[in-house]
Amino acid sequence: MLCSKSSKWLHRLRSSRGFPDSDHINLEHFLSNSLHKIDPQTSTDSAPPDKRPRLEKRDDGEAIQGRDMINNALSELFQMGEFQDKSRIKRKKSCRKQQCPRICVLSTNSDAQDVPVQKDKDSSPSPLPLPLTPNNRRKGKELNQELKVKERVEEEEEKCHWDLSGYSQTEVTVIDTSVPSWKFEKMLYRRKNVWKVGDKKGKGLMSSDRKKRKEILNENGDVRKKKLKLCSSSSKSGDAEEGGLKKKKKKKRLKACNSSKYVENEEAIARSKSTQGHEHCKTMVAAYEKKQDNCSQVQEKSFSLKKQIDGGSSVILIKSIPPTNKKDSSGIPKSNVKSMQK
Amino acid sequence: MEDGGSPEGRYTVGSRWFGRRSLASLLIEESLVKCDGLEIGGGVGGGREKSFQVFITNKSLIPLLVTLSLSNTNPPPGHIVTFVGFFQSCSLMGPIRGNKKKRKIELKIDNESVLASGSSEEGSIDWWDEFSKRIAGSVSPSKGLDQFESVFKVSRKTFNYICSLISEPMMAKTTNFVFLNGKSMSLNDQVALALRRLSSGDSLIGVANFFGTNHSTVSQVTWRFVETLEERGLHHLQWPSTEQEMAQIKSKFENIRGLPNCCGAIDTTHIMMLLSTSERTIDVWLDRKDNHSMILQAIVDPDMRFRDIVTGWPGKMDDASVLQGSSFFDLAEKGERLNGKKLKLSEGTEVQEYVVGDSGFPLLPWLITPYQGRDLPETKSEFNKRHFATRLVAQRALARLKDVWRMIQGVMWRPDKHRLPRVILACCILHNIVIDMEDDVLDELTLTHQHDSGYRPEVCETADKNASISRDKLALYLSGRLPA
Repeated sequence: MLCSKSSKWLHRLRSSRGFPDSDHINLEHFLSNSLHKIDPQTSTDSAPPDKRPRLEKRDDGEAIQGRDMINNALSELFQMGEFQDKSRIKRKKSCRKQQCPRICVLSTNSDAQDVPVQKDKDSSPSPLPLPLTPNNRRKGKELNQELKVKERVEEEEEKCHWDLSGYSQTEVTVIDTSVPSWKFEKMLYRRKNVWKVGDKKGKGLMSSDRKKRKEILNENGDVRKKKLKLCSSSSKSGDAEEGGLKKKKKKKRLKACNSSKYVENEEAIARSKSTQGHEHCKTMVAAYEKKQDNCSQVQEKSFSLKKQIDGGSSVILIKSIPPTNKKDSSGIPKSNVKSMQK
Repeated sequence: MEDGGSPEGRYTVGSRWFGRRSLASLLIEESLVKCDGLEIGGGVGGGREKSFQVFITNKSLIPLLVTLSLSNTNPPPGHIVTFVGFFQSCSLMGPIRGNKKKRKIELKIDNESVLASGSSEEGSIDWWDEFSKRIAGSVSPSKGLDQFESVFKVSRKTFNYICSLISEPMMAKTTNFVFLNGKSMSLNDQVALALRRLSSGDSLIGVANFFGTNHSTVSQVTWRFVETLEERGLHHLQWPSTEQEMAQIKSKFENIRGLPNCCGAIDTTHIMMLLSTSERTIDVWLDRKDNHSMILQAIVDPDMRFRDIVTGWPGKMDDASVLQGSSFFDLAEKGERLNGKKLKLSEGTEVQEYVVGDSGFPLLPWLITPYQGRDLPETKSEFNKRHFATRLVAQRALARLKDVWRMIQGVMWRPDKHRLPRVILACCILHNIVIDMEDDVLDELTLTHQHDSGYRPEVCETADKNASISRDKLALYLSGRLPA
């Protein structure tokens, strides 16, 4: 499997590492050719001493190192957590992996106090927000802590975009009579208990709706709105595509559009309460952020997790509350109830 | 007239609107005719005695039922005849029985246009006569309902209103729907077919056999009906727009069990679906009871009228998440909903406008949920009882919605998940129309609050401190222990 010439992941791996990217190269070739480019000292030093000294003594050490390198890469890619290689390569990869973690969780006061500790503890070079990794998701007890870290990461990198890889996508048509344009095409992203909602543009809408929208635009003569519309569509296509330069460019364009809409800085945008066209980009407000100070100790729960995602990015997080937050009235955890009901 | 009240005085309908056609046929074909600031929204003949039922909407889109009768039963050609009519308010404020305002109006109309009207009226009568003969034996009248109401779940009056409401867009499209015998379907036939499909819970083939057409026609007609009803009937489902309207709602809620300043009750139900094998792997639709379902969240007024709905989200989402994703949530958080004047409970104690919901929702300043836990002190348990009684209207409304519009009651067979929300919306609009029309059918329906049987209540532990304080004050107020 690893030697598959057409492996996408391998292809991406090569290009991200700056290895020769040729279709005619197989894994063996790749290893033998690329190993000499890596400083063996770096690899040896950074390897966990309890795991690999024996291997390094073997004659075919080079090949083994190569394998280790691949394993490292794989462990980074899939968050296996076994390898802690902090090589130059890894740092390089980190940038590719998680440029813009965009998880948003509001913490309570007590949570906030814990954050710095957690952050220090987990300030490993791994750039992935912890809850997004399968390993971490399994550790239910640690979820809260992870969420706290996630929040900080989110705050620091608020300007970036969601990494929606690994999220299941579902197209939904939503009726919401609170707004005049009561029908919306949405893209729902879900990963376990985390829900994100993005606008789905230019598809599936009735012609009459398009007409109406056009009319609205024409009536208002609002160039800004038109720009927004473009933004939204570009956002959508950007989400749909696998990473790469194209996506980056589109996101840049998106940012540009947003900045044309908002004069204020991004922080202000995130908390903006101005009414936006619902179909364009929903204003995502951290609804309870302002009220957190008022929360009692007993009832402290992070709740409203809506957050602006890069201004015009039409993706919002609906929920990333730990599963323990919602449970059956009998006090039995939801998972248990589910199994009981079966 | 424009404020929703009944029009008074004498109105002359000029011949330029009616030409040489009969009143009834014109009202059906051109459903919106300007008339001294009024819009005549269509009409259907009401009997052989040359009387009409006409629905007129004013500029606030408040429907007013007008019964017109011809004062001169045999007028000579060219003569000006007078229609004497009574306005019966069907305002969106809901039925206030015993308070129906009937006002006399007179309409003068060019006689030429009236002469031919008899045939049209009779044609309308003939439709049901003919139709009931066709379906004779296949439907037995339910308890307390005549045959018409048993078949369509609405009274004849409401049926006529729905026809008039959607006649123009429904008949404007070029597609001609036909029965198996080749006869084309009239507006009444199409509305009847769609209502039957939505209300019976029968399959497409079942409804097709009932009407003598094929199942694809049933599907197409129903979908056109749904689209048209969305377009023309959405004003029946809207958040109260005036202070007066809101004041009445608050008053009615307070009359239930004393909760002051309450503006609505919120609840959520699941519309179940049987998905195709490939779709079943998408567990996003799998709810907590292991059914594939779509969520409907509704805010209901004390007359069980839907005031705000959100639907389309998959069953996996919990109540709090759906609420959080709704525009109502945004508006309420921004202070653009439930932002009316606060009610003073005692000196220094005020309560803002709010809706009530069960424990599946978060406790928020504008959303009051019951106290959780067992062995509550008396003040809190008493509050919970009152709270439950008040929010029961939402459960009843959802139960009635599913009971009457049975297409969304059972497990739908492989529905189009993009169309289903709109079918749900159409059913909610029809539910509201029945209430707005003060339909007698309502009186015959049993009240239940089981709309989501088998679903255990959810618990959301999220609470806002200010809301918690407000709830405590309300509990004290209701138990008479709030210091003056």
